[in-house]
Amino acid sequence: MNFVTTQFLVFLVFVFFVYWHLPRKAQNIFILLASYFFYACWDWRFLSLIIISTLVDYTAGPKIQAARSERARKGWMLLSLGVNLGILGYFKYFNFFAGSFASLLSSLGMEVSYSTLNIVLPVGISFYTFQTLSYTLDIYRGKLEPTRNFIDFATFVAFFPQLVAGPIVRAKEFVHQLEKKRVFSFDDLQIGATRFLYGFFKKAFIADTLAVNIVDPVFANPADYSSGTIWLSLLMYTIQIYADFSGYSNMAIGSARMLGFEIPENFNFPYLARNISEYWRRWHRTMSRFFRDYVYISLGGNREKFAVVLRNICITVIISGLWHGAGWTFVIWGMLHGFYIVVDQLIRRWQARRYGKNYSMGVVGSIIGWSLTMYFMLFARLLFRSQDFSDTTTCLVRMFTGADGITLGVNMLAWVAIVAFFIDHVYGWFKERHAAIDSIAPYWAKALLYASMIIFLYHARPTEINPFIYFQF
Amino acid sequence: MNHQSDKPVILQFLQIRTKAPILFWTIVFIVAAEAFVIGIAPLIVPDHFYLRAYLTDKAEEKIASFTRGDDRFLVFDQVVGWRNRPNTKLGNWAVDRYGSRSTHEFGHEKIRPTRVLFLGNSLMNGGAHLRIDETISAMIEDSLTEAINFGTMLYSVDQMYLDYVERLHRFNPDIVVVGLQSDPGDGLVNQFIPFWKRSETNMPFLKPRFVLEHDQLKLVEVPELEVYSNCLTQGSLFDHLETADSYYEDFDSYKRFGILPISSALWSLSERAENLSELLDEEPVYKDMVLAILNELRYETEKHGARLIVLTFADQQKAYPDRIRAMLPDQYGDLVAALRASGFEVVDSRSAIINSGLEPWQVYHIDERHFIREGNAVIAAALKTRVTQLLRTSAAVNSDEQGMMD
Repeated sequence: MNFVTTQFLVFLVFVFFVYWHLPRKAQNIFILLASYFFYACWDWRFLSLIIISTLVDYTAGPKIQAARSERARKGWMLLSLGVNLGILGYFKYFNFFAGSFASLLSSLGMEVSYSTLNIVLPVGISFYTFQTLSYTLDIYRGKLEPTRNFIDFATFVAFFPQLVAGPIVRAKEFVHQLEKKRVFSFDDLQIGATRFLYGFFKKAFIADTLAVNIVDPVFANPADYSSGTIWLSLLMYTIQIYADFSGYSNMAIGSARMLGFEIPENFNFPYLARNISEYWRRWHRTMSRFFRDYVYISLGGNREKFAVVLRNICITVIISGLWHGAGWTFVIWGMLHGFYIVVDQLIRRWQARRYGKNYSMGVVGSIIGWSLTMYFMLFARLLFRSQDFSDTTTCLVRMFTGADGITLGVNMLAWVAIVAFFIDHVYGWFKERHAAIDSIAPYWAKALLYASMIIFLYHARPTEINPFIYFQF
Repeated sequence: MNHQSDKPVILQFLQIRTKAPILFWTIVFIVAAEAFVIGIAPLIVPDHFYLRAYLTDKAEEKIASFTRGDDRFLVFDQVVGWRNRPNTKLGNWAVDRYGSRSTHEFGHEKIRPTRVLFLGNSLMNGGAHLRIDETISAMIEDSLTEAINFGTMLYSVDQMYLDYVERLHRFNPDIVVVGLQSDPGDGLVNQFIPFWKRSETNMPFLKPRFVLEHDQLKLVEVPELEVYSNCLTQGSLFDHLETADSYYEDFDSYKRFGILPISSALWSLSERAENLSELLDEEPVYKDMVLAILNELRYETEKHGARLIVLTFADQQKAYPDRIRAMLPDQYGDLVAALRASGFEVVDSRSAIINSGLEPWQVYHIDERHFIREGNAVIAAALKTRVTQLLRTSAAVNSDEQGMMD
């Protein structure tokens, strides 16, 4: 059940009205059942994986806390890690590692017979696995009390608005909301519904229009297109992936809010970033936070020598690349970002030594920093979009050799999508400087904007429904 | 501003104006826009503006290329609306200089003792997914029988009749096979294809139609090419279609209810209800019209010394109905029975398919309407048996008549 379908809208309205007519305990049970139904609409067989993960971590949490010896604590924590990462590893990475291992042996002259398994990747597995892992890891670190209510815990794991593509919510942010009484509020409804609509517009209009008209045709056969067209489509893909994923996050945050829950923000206008570290603080923030807290800090974080810190950064970013997809393009993408961050850290260290810790880049420095950040981020996006290295190479060769080929025009709808994206980010730029910008516009003007969005969506969104890009992760 | 109340949430919505003003005004603006579009816009906006919104970009391009004569497969025809483009070869698609998709180019004179002429739509033509030797017409050919296939995309039975009367009788067939789709009445009250099938972006064309007045068929001709080619910029075509096309009402409803989301949703629901009521109808749609046109065709074929066979095509839902469809009235079966009751020679593809014992995927193309080679083979075998029987009967009658003369 895709968020941008009529089925989901009907489902959400039904859940909303039933939910707010139920007492609190029944509300949680109802949300759990609705979430399982929602997931079963994708593939009911994989519901069992969510249930296994839920049962293991629900059992492991109190055991970790109650364990009398460090060994027992560690044992329960490793059981949770083993089961969750085992499931993730099998479904997401088995073919990748088996194939890579066979290729490695083959390159060493040892031929091995190897066949890939026909493994289907369960939707959202990377997201809910991280969510349950954060629960046991936080208990292990003594930062969280285990929950004693199974329904609450199961609802935390399977909460449908963010089940399949985040934001990755932590138990300490969410479980207490399930425990307290929730009261219907028009504020929540208004904020949630408008946020949902905004996300719907970003996904169904901006992202899908650019995908259908420019990105998909070019990346299906990059060898046929001219250098300029490949640059253009890469730029459009950068807008598409932002509108697609942040649109989904907006819909998740909006629908959760309509039900009285607050879940963390996932994006903060990432294309305003002036350096790559800032970019990662603005893009997929809940994932960056997860890797920072559970990988980077576990490796020693920035308490070590500078060289070790840089190593920790590289390892963390490469793992994050692999989290996105089981393929070497994602590993290289992670390495590239690791390299960018290392260079960024070295520059900042040099700046701090030379100009002091309170050094400010100034307007010109900010523009240069922003331009370089966008250029290198765009370049790395190519790895993210390409099917394989052969595609990446084809695109790179054509991009940097001024190759001839089909030149794609940008049609009127695509221009509108591009302008809408710019308005989004210009709004973000103003918002960072004038926090009160939201209260300037009168109600009727905002309402007119939302009504126009609905009418525009009805007419201008592409007829075919594209799945969300991050569902594949 | 958190609202706490013991009232049910549904009742609390009465306070939405003060409690959630943005949502309230959003709804007000949409309802106001809906009211404007339903009540006022059609009075001031010309029809051709609506047509541009109604058609897809692809359909608009198709109208332009077709009226310029650039379409790769079809050409405009003032009598029947469109014909196969002569001398065309593209992949599996090969059409001779007469516009026929046959194994050989046949002239007006017979080469073999028996000539069978095929009239129909894409089901008879075979479509671009099949080679010529995989079509029904090619499969009934043998050393004594030659087959000429004039099946043309999206033809309805009125166009088949007009095509035969206009030119195809000159091919002197012994037998004429007319292929009827599952719902042969559907296109008979239509002139502008998109009004009937909005999604038919490949063929947004104009066709002739008949009107049944006091049991007499009256022809409504295809408008001039110039009128058609200007339909996206001028309104003259709509003046004609308003009275000539029974589906114009649907277009008129689109102008009021198809533009904005709330009215569209309600309109879509009412359309679905209407479609369902049509499915629940015992009678096939426009059965009288189908029979009247076939009667005329039978008269014309017999006038030219040929026999008529009606080949009824059943789509996958008709041949292999799911549980719900199996409970609905069998309109296809009713049509076959009505044809037989009117004295037509009928070859029922559904019986042939069911008797073959094949699975649906062995018979139908992925669209569940067109046939693949195996499906055509089953139908061709049934048809060939009937053709042979008919020829034997004709031969026996002729020999009896000859004996009486002697």
